Amino acid sequence: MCFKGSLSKRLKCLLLILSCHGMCSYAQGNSNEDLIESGENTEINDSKAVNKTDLQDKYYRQALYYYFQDNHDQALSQVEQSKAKLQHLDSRASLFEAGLQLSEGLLQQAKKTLVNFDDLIIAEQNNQISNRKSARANELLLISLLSLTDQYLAQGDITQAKESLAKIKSISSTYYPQYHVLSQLAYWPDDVTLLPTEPGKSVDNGSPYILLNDALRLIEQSREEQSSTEQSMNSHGKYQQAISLLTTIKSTSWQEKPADFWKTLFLNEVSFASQSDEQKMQISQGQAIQDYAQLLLAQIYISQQRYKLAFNELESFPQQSPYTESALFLFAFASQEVGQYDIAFSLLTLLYQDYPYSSLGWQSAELMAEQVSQQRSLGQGISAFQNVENFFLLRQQDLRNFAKAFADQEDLLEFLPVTVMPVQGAVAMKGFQTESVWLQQALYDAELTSLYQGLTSIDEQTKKIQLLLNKTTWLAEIIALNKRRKALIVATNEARDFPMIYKKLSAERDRLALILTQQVKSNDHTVFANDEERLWLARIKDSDTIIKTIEGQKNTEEYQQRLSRVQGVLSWQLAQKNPQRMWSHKKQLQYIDNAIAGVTYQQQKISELSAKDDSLSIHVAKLQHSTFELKQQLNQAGKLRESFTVKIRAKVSEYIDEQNILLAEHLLSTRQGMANVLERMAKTEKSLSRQSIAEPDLVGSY
Amino acid sequence: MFTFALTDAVNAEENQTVQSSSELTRQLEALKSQTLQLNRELFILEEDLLFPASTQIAVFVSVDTGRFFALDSVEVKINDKDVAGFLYTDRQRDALEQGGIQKLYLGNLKMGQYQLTAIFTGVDQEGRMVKRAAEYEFEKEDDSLMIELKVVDNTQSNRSQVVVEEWIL
Repeated sequence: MCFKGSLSKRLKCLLLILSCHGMCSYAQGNSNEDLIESGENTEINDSKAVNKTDLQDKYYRQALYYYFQDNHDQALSQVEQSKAKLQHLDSRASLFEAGLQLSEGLLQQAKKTLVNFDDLIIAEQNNQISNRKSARANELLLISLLSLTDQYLAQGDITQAKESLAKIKSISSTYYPQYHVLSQLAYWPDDVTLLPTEPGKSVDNGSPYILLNDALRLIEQSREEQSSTEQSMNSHGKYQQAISLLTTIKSTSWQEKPADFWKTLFLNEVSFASQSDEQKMQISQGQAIQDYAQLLLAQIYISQQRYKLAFNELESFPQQSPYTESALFLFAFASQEVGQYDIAFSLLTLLYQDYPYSSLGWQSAELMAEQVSQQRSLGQGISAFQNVENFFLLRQQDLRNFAKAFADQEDLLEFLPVTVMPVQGAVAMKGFQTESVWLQQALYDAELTSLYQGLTSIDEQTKKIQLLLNKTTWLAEIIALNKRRKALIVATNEARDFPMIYKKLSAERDRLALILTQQVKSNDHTVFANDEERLWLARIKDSDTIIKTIEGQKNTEEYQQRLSRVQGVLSWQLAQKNPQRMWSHKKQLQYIDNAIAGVTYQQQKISELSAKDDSLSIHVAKLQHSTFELKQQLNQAGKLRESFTVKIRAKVSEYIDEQNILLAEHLLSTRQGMANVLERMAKTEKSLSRQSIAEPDLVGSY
Repeated sequence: MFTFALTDAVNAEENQTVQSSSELTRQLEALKSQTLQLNRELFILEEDLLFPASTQIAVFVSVDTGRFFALDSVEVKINDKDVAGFLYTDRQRDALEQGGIQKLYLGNLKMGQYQLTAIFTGVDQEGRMVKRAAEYEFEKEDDSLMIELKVVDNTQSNRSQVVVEEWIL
């Protein structure tokens, strides 16, 4: 029996049968691509580095990839998926999760994450997990609590805001201004007891918002005291304090310090396309603060009847400001009080023409008509009042039209939505926007805006749920496909009689192993001879036979010697090559053993999987459960949308009623004004006619 | 008489209406939270079905600072077969340069030896179009395989190079 120089063909065939089923395979290619292309600079690097992997870091950074593209929703999904895979998140990832939850409006979840944060830090420190990541943990916890407080205040949930503030045990100087402002808002209008600052560190209590809030509080207190005559002296003092604060704000340039990653995540609501956009916004904000301070200052002067000061203050008010409307109105009033009637008239006319839907515009219309009737002729006064009356009648009709259109609108988000594309470089506005001026005004109410945002969120959630439902349909098809595939594999497996093939394969392998062992023992170098060598051996054997045959008849000594020499050379050659060939065959046997082991393992797996019925059943159960939950959620979303819609309609209806009352009052007072003017006209005519009757009598007597 | 209000006082009446609005807000929050949870569950299910751990292979891309190489695109082949390609927008490149990791490819491989080839195209400091590549031989065993392709800056040579890291799970 000889051992062939290559694997037995039979063995190869058997292995091929066993390995070719079940799993997907990729075509094997050994060609090496030439990556150097003409005209381009290319480098190839075969370096490989296998390091111990910090999976927490890797998964965290996968979420960052979405976060830095402003896709907070996807970033949060990624964090959730990481949590499912890793079973828990480290402190940095937990805090990141809390920040994303806050930005997506999941306040309760964020609160829960933050409540557990302390325990997480302690656990990490006990386990001596890298302190580099948790080094700033207290600072990050502080930022997140401040952000949570901010969110609760925005929602009007003062109790929760106070609770979040109470969780802050110490505060660094960097965040003291934010903490101060949030405390002011949470405890408004009462004074607030703040935490002490870090020893040895100075605190910047000069933030414009702190000063502004202090000034507002003083103004409110002054008004309350002014109404009570006993404390009117105190109110003057408080007004002076407020004036001092507002003057400081007005005359100082304010600039926000640049925020790091965590501050941006937690405390910045707006994202900017570029640094220059961010700078522009900061400048605008600074200007807006100064404008507001100037406006408040003017209001204080008017409250104190120091109209000249108010006039001077408002004369320099910028034309483009978020507070232009209010400033114009105050300026008009101050102008009237200081006798600048032309200026007052121009301002009042401008106000009611440019702001025809605002209450300040309506007041301006009345004041304008009143001024005309006082300053100019009664006829002009009547005409002005008639114009104003028509103006209010038009507004009432407008309001009725709006009320009807709004009531008839089924989907409130489709009520005159904005269709103009935003200007390039402008900050993207979030939330519902409308072209209806009445609704725009109504949306100044924070609660209504929040309700509209809720409605938009519900629609987004509904779309997501629908997408997930579509996915469940697709997954069900995948499972059905897998079931069919599995059945096919099981059937094929059963048809092939693999145990018999294995038996043959093992027998063949054992036979070859035995031959090899025997050959190794016998030390016969001719066993591993190749074809050419076998041919030579055969010829030597034949020659030997022939020599033996003719031995008696001829002198064969020379032939014998020559044959011996050839045989010796061949034996020597075979002996030289034997170790290598033996090793090669041993390796091949090892390869066969490995291949058989691999195929045996595969077959075992297939048998296990075939026998295991419940692997797909588990998936089916999970899928059914998810589908059921999703359908329920879709239902809930529909009901919630209905609740939000009802609430919004109620709020808008309230607003419409308020505006109707206001308009009715203005119309009534306009008509009263007109009546007063008519009365004055009548009196004037009466006195003129008396005079004209008296004068002819006098002429007659002389 | 004119009215003029600048301050935002929250009175008791407003508190009452705010409470019922906040109830709606809480219900909305619960809905969002449940959707997120279901999304996570379905993601796990989908991965288990389509990419079981025994055959799963994932390829990730990350970038150092991007100082010497502004990434434009990447192609990945396994045993000379194209498996993934991606063209990067400015935003995506920025996200990578700020520390993000992108999951470029998720697929299935049976057990055995493979060769991965990754070709990165980008722009160097001088504004020239350049390519950086890496070849990596690996053995797929009976568990998940995660390979990260890192474009790393080499400050000594003022160039970037591609380093391959196989995650130890």
